[in-house]
Amino acid sequence: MVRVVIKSELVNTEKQFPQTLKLEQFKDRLYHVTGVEPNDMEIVVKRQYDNKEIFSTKTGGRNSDEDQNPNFLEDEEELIVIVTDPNTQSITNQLATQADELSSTQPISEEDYLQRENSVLRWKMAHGYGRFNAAQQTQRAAQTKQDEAYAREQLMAAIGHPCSVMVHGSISRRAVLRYVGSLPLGATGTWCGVEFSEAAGKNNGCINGVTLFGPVAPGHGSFVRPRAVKILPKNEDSKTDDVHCDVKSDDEI
Amino acid sequence: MREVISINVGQAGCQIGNACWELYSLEHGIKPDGHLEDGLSKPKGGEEGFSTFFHETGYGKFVPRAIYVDLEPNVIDEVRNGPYKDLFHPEQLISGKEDAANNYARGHYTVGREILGDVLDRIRKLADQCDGLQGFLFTHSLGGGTGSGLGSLLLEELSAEYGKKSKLEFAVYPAPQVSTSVVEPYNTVLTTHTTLEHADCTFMVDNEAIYDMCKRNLDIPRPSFANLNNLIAQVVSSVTASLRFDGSLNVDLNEFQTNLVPYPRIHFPLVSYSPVLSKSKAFHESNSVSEITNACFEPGNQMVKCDPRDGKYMATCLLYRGDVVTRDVQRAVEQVKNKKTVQLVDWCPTGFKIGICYEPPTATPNSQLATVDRAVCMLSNTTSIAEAWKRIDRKFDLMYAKRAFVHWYVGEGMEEGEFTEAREDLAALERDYIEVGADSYAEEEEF
Repeated sequence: MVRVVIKSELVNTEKQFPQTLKLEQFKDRLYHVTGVEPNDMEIVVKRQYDNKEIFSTKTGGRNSDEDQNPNFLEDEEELIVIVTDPNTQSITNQLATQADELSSTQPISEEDYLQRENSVLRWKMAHGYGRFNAAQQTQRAAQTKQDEAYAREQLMAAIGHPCSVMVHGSISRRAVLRYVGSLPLGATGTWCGVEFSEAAGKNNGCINGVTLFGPVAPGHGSFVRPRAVKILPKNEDSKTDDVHCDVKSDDEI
Repeated sequence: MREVISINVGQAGCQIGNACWELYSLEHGIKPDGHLEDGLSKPKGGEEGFSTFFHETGYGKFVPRAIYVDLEPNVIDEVRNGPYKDLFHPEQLISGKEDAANNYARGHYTVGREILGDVLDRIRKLADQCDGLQGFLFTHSLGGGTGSGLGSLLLEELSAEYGKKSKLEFAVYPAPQVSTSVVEPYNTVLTTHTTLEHADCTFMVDNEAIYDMCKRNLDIPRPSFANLNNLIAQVVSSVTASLRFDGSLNVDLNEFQTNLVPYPRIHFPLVSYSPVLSKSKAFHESNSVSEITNACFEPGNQMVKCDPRDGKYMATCLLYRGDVVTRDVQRAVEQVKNKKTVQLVDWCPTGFKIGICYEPPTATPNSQLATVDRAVCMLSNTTSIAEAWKRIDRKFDLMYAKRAFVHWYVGEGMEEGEFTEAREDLAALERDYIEVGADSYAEEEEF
């Protein structure tokens, strides 16, 4: 047996072949590995231990010295074969040049996916997971409604007032309420713009190039849900420099 | 008695099998001839665990519960003539005469069918030696002809014959950059479609990821397949350690599924391993529990190239080996849970499961891997592994648009319809992963 490392434009692998293979048979084996048509195929065979070239087909087509070289793998143990394809129109060369192109994949249509019995979508529907969890959806809707009522009835009138901001996962921060309304991005519903006295926020009052308040100093502004905002009496204003935060910079947008 | 039968199919499967059984033998104190190492009165690692993988004959010899199958004789001849030739019963090594020529259709339909009856007979014999067979552990490549074609055929047949017995796979996934054959994308898509409902849990290993690890961590300038397989074996050994040694987690095959697979189609956990260290580096690293745990979250320690920071985790198992104390593990896991980059799917229960096996990992004498006191193998079901499917699907589409090499398959009696059906199934699988990642309601609370 001879151990052969096969290298081509598309392939890099290792196979074992009987030493009795004739060139034509050898090429056929290489064809099924590399996809290069035997009629186009050019091969260079090197010995692995000294990298010495022991065989090469200089021209395409059937090799005339095949008969003079019937057992060219004889006495060899470890070889490297470099397979090239000079035919620019060949399928392997087409594939090689297109390897980096974005292909038009044939994704499954929403209808077809919905039709499939055995899918994560059907599973979620059947068990009421995620957006199919009716109770959770109702609760969310109620929360949004509550948020909006709170914003309309109390926060709108309190713009310019000091407030405390409590976002899940971080500790309470003192700020001044600057804006109440929608945001120019995917997030729906009502949001509150707040200004911190130090860089405890995520922006300067601008989102997607739209200035909603300020602009204030970079990092001094943030937008949060109404439920995160509690209006404080005006006389506590002096405490607004008492800012704490554990927001990490990689969350900023 | 909870025996597991290993089935190694095709060139890659058999070669990885060799590396694995060499390692298992060392770990349990079995010599290459199947007898116990001098001075041992019983195998290392507890009778119960040990007997899941080895069968004891009446003559004090231990035989792996394993079968090797390849359509061509070369690779298996190496086992027959190699240093471990006496470990196996000759009937456990099955080879044909004509190879699959990298063609799924030859492995699955024409050439593979001829050998099928023989293989099933031998598996039946191994199964008869078991008191309480748990299931099967497959090792095969997805890209080769025998591994993909015959591998999936055997999985189908075992489903029919052994019903609900667990079937786990270690599958060599095509490397992103270099292929082992031009039709790898076809074979991978076809075999994945066929086995999707038969395999309970599939651990994928991509040669390129392993290659990079050998180069970067083990200082092997031009890693050979033997180097790659040694490293893969170390990982397989870590995953199966809990089955072979007395441990706490995943002591049964079906526990892998229970702990990792929320929905049957989503059964491809990402495997990470740490530490991968060369002998020269080992003395300069402390390898604390927290260090090796954190290393599992670095893409460089993953068996498949993808970025878990882009995905969401459904389930995670951390399998520790060696000198590890529970307190250190708990602290390390607490750190991991607080990582911002570890996002969990929040509409279904997710969990971190911990397993500790007190046997340290063993390095084979000819491997570059250093002997270390402790190691960890992380199995995580993350949506980011869908990147691997996307990549192979795209390659499939490029080729199939031109019907390139489809005639090789049609020539073996396959119909083109099987290609489109398989591709649609994989598209649905991609869609399934998107659906798993969707509906995470931890919506942004601050902008």
